[in-house]
Amino acid sequence: MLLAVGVTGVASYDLASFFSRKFVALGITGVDIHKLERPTIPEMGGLSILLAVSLGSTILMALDGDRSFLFLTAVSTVSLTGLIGVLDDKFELRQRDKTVLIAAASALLSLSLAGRGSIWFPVIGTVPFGILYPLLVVPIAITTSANMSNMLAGFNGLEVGIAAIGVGVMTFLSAVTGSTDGALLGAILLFAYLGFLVLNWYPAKIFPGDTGTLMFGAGIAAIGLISHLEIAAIVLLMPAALDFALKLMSKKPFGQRKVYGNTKVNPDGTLAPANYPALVHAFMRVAPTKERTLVVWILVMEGLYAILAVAVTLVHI
Amino acid sequence: MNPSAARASLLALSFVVLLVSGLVTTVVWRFLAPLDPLPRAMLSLLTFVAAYYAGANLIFWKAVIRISPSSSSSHPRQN
Repeated sequence: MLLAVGVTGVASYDLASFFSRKFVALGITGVDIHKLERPTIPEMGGLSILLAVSLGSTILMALDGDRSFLFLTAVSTVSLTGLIGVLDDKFELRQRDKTVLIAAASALLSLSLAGRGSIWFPVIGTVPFGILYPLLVVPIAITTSANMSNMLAGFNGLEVGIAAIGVGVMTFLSAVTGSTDGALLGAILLFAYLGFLVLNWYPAKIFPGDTGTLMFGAGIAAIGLISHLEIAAIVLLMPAALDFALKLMSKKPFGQRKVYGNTKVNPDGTLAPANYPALVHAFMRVAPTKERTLVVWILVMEGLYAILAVAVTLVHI
Repeated sequence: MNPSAARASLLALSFVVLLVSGLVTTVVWRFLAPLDPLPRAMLSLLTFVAAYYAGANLIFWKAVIRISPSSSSSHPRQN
């Protein structure tokens, strides 16, 4: 296990480093619009996370013959979602197509969770979903989580930092509740994101792209489903859910930047928000905020929700 | 308002939205007691989603506009 996660972390860092050089030469780059100098940065770096997760999972399954069909299907769902992210980075898929493709990617996980039927909710208690669990709950959970994670993004270290906190907490809770499959998948994802974060932290040398953001949303949901930690996963996604709820108010919820433009940078380096509701814009509005401060505060927010997720889960068990 | 206090208030507000949504959902859950567990749970979950959406916009974003030093042109709905 230690070998698999170690290789995953090192591979993620090394591949990101390699891609950051290669993608510049290939022209797979974007402008870092939140800096005065507007540097050109390689994009689609999430590909290194996807490859590292595939490598780590393969090593784990080769060394440990006890890994179940459940683990395999969860890894497949996360990896397929990452591949959809690659397509999205390359061809800018329509929101509707992306949603359908991610729902299809969760089919194998639905199959392996066919016997599962209930979810525990605070106050409400255990709710029997029956056949709706594999048919509706699993695809909706993976699709919603992946898409919401994809929307709260775009600043150095933000999405990868949220991924590290979220996946880290899900890994811990899976281990505490005795879900080996969830803990192992979480550990592999965690080290893949930590390896990438070294190069993505402010000032970023590579962007994760939709490959990295879609995959961590799917990862948190997949761990939540296989470890029976659905509520913890929901709590960890609350900052992304808040951002999503705010964006739904605007004219084009999935394409505001085309309508309202991007966040601008003031001469003093502080950020000026575009005129539509979003979580990052809330922080920019209430006080002069530079990119790094913004990212740190949203990570603090994610950290508080992580504490709540741990508390709710530990009280339940 | 002090910048750190303003940012911290956003963190607190996000939890207020979650708390209010949870309370509304609990009330609806109790109100729907005569129903079977599954429809009762589905309706309660829909209530949570609707309450959270309303709370995000009516509590969180309204407060952001109030706290914001330059609160002009900050209405969320644009046409």
